[in-house]
Amino acid sequence: MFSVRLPPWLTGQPGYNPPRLIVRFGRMAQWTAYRAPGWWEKAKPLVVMAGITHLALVVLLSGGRNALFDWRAPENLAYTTYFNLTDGFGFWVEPSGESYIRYKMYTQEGTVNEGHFPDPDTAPGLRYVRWAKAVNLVNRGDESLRASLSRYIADQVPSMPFRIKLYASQWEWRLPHNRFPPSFVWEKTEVEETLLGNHNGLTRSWVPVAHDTPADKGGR
Amino acid sequence: MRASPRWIAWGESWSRFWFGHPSLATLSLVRVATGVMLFYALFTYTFDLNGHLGGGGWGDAEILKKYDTLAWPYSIYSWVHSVYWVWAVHVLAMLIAASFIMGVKPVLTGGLSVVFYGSALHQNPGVVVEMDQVVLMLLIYLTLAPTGSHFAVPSLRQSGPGGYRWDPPGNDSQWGSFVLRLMQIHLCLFYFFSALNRLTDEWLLGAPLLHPRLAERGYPLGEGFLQAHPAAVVILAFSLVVFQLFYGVFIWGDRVRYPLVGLAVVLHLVVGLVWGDLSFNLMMAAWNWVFLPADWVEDGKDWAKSMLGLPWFPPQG
Repeated sequence: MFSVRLPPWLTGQPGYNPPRLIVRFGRMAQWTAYRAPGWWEKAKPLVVMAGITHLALVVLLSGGRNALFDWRAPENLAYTTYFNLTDGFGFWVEPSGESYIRYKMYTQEGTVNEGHFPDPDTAPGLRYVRWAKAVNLVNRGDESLRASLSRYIADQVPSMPFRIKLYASQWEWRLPHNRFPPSFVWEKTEVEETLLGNHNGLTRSWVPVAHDTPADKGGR
Repeated sequence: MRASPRWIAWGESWSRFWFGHPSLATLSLVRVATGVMLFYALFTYTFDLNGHLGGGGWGDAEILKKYDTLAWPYSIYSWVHSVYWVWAVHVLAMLIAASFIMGVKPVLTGGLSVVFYGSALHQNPGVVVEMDQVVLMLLIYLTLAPTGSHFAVPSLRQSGPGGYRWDPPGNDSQWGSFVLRLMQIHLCLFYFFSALNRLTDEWLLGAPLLHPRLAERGYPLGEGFLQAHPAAVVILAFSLVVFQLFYGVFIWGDRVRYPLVGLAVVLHLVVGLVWGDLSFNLMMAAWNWVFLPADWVEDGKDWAKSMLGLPWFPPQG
């Protein structure tokens, strides 16, 4: 039976006076090494497995925001909505249909709350992907879905808001892919917002915007 | 009339292909992985349960039904109308998924998981993502085979202080081999049609590899390198398409099978980490495990068993 002889500055031998906490842990390690020889060799796979599991959970549950990556920055928001349009490797396949919804809520307290779906703070990642999918469906043009979404937003606050305005936001970018090989220069993305309609808080009804006049389009 | 020996040999090899593998260890491993992803998918529903599946959700259930591709969509959630019962059904679905992971009557719990998970997907088809479809598909396959023969908690017995053993698996069903072959062929077809969808100018010019999100964060190889060697990106895009196109061919070769499986797993992990759709790519990597030989999985099982037999705590006294 072998035992590990730990250095005196860890276990507190005469002539060494390390902090009490270090001595306590050092003596625990010494005791463990004596009573259960080879414990580290046995525990090593367990520790490694637990570490890998921990890292995987951190990446999964953080929803794209962790120490290494930040996929939820506002400028990255639109790109992540492509996840529901991916193919077998997770790449996007359609250059259009990437959208989100911005809302402005006029509360009884006189404040204006703004937010958007999907919320970039939504985690875990799969949850965010589902909301992005929902938003793409709402932006496809079904007025009743917009009405139910505005009702859902109104239900999330304790006091009934007077009015909620919904905007569809489309991210656009252009790739000069009419050349070969491509030049690999992406132009800066642009946001174009379109007013979809208003939710009347008093009647809890949805009034869509006709988009007949230029004044109805856009505007925040 | 006597059949020719060649005809008999052909028939035997045909039977061996479909019903030849004696071990269900590989399928059991895929059961654990699919179960974990199923549990994770249900877990993520928990945060927005009322928003997605409840009565007061963001989308009216009657309107959402017209987006369902199924002619007669079924959903347990459409039977319940109070928040309490929506939660009850959801918790029950999660318990059944946990039982499926642990291998408790996997044919039964797998079948119930198909019903419960399918209910969630059909209740709100507006939030069904690609991973859901893969998980549900694998669940249906796994339900057809007795995958509780390996990696199952009920067959785990304590043998002495601190030591565990698994009951020896009974006679493995040849039907399991048939299910494994179905899953393998389905994966090949999945990759093949995915590659066909990608045979477009935009894809082959490497546009997906130069996604704006990558541009914001910096290209993996460096922007300068890509601008100096634009053909590298095109070659990379072509390579990915070729990989998917011919996966279903080369995977049947004995020498390249396991390098190919390893490559697929690594590719899915890299794409999942860089693009962020990690859950879907993890599920695809686990789907690739259907090509792992049962011997390797058995070795992994022995390793897991030895891990369970460790002295977890220092001896007392």
